[in-house]
Amino acid sequence: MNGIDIHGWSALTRLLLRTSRLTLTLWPLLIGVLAFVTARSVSGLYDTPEKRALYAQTVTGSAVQAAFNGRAYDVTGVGGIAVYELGFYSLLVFPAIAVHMAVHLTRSQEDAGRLDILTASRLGRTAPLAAAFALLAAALGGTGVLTWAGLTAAGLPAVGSAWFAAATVASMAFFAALGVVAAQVAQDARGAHGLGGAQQRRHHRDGLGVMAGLYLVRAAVDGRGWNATWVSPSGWFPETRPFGDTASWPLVAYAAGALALAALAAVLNVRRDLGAGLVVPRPGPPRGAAALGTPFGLTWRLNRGALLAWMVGIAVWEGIFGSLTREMRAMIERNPGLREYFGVTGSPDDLMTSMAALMGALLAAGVGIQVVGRLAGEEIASRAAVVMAAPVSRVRWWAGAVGVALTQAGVVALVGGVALGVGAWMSTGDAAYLRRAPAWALAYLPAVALVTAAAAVVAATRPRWHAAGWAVFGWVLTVAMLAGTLRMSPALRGTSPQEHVGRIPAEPLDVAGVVIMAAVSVALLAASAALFRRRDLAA
Amino acid sequence: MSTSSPPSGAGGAPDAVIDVRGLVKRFGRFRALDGLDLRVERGEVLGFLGPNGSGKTTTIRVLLGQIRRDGGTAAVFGRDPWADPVRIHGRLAYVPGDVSLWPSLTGGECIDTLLRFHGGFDPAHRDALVKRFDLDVTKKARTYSKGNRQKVALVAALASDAELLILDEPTSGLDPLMEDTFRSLIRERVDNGDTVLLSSHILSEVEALCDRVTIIRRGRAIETGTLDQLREHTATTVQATFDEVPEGLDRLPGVGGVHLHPLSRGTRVTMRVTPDGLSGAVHAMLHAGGQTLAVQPPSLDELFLARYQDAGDAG
Repeated sequence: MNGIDIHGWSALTRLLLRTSRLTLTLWPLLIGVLAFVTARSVSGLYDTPEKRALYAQTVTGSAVQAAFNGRAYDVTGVGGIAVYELGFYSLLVFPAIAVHMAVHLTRSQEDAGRLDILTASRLGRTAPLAAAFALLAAALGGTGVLTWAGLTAAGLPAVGSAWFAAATVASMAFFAALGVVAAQVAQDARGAHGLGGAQQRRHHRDGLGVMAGLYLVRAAVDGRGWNATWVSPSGWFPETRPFGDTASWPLVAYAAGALALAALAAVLNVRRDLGAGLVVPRPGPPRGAAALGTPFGLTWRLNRGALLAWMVGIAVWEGIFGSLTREMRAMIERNPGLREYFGVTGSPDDLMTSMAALMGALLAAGVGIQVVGRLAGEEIASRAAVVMAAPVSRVRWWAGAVGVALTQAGVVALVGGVALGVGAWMSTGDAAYLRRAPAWALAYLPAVALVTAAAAVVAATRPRWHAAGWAVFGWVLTVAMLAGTLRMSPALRGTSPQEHVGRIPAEPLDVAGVVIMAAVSVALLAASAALFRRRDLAA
Repeated sequence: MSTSSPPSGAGGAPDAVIDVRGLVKRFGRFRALDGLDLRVERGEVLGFLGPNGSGKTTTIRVLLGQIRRDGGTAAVFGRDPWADPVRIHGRLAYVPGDVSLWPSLTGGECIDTLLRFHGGFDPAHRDALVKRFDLDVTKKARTYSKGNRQKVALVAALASDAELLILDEPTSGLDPLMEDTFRSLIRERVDNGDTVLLSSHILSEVEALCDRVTIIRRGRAIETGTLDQLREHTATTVQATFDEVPEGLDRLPGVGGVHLHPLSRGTRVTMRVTPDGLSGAVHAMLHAGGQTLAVQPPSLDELFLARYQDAGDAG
């Protein structure tokens, strides 16, 4: 096609490989390790046919399981159980990683201005895209090999493991291509000097938003047991049935979708570059509001758009899971064995709502980590230094900015609580949910604050390490989803704040735990301010 | 005065706005500042010059309290910039060398944000400055060129009521017209009694604005003085034409770099003469029957090139 010119892509691939090698090796390795530990614990946990039969009986009747992990297949065997226990990751986390890698390899390079100096040399217009695709293919190939190796090393059959690895690669390829398209579409009035991550965040948001939307559509369909899981690409994955009656159509569908999206990205890439100057930026206010003159006000303004997106996202997310409450109640009433299995003592509805409340708290913690990350970005871009050249003390700036992180995390948590309450109320007709669900969100706030405060300590120590805050997030997520499967010791579980809230509402609130977490959060926040005051600014 | 202020130095004027002595800053094993001395008196414009990487920006970051010094003393308005930054910052304004603005805010919002952080400001003064710099403040900062980003920072600094302006290569992206505007605005501030520390590579700007200059190299001040004082230490170029070149010109005191260039009639002699050898050399050439004689004081370029190059090799 006219305009596609990949001259110089191999040199660019080597450069990208050099600058992104951590991203490109760490994620595949993590996925492989997770596959291995999950498969190994599953074979230990469900080592007899009786145990497997009980597992199968439980999960096949569970709307919660279907909503979060997708359809359950072949769960009478160890392989099938391992696949199902990894379901949440295969359907949501791994695709999110794929989107992240795709955006990282395309737009973040461009937005940092690094490509400008390269495209000025002998480099085809589509070369950066070709280089990104080459590296994505390599990373996904590595992911496939490591996943297969992890499962077989844990003792699962080689053929089934290969099917699972292939399905993982295919679905990640599909979502990576989606991420690349998002990176092309979200191009707007980027000027020649549009430095920094604002654009990149938008691509992440768009790519991840579409991905999460597909997951939620599938969750709504599977949670209700409708026979329509194919409507969302997120639902194709379990249909592969790696350790049962295998089907190749999901692989073909993912591959075809990935190719179509890649082609679309290439077309958009060519059109975009030609038309980049056509978008006329809208004029904005010539004066700044008084609120911009405080650290809190400025940080709030810089994170306003992201907050809105998070609020919409969590409202949809929690609303959908809340709306599945009645399905869960019906299933438990049909099958009282489920109640014992999940250890539910109170209302059967609590199974869905407690999981949804926990997820809402996790998302809110993600908001806190994200705002702290932007705070570190302000320092790295040396904008913080300019603000602090005014009579604004280090501690005041830090307190204002971290205050925004905590406030926005709290706002998102509460919006999630309200949405969960509305969803559950509409599903069950029980108006008490409108009061109870926001209260659960409140109970989780100290845990949310603790994760945010931990991220703040990292950013206060060294701003360039701020991404480590997401490692905390990943750990909390892993404890939430896989602690039982991986047979984590109580001490290990205890490192995650959510464990100290108590499994509300199924179990009573752990008041002491919540109070202690609130106190530790305050201490960590004070420590972060002290650390930030004592060190040299990064830029 | 605050207890953190350094002891008042022997012979120094009492009214130093910036007083830095023996400043040391290490980044790992690299000594970015290695015993720097710097003094800016109230009401003067001090040119702060030096090659890339010589430590100018590091010095400014110490003065702003962004980084902690490893040795020596530093005082701004008599206070320690690390211990007491807020009270100092209330009286100064800063323009960074590489201006980074909030991409999602307009230029006007960026200006007002910076001004509000600084404290009160006069909107009419701000608008007048925006007009003089011919800046479209309704555009998002992400669409600005380097020059426009500098204009935003300059407007915010000049619209403030700061007594001290710390400017780190503030005009490197401005066009000549705006450069001219910048110079007149700085002169207005100095006429008001304000003080300016101006780091710059633009020598015409330094000559037009600065009362004194300090030249640093490898983290150390190698020369401080007025431009005239610096010229006194730099060789003058002397040119003369002769029918017959006299013997022994290169043995005259203070004379070096003698160069002969044959003309259609006679020979042109070019030489470099130190200030103390000048009168002797000129006399000698007139005595030897020079037909033309030209004496050129060192240009600014020569002045700085000589300092940037040789001192480092010696040190």
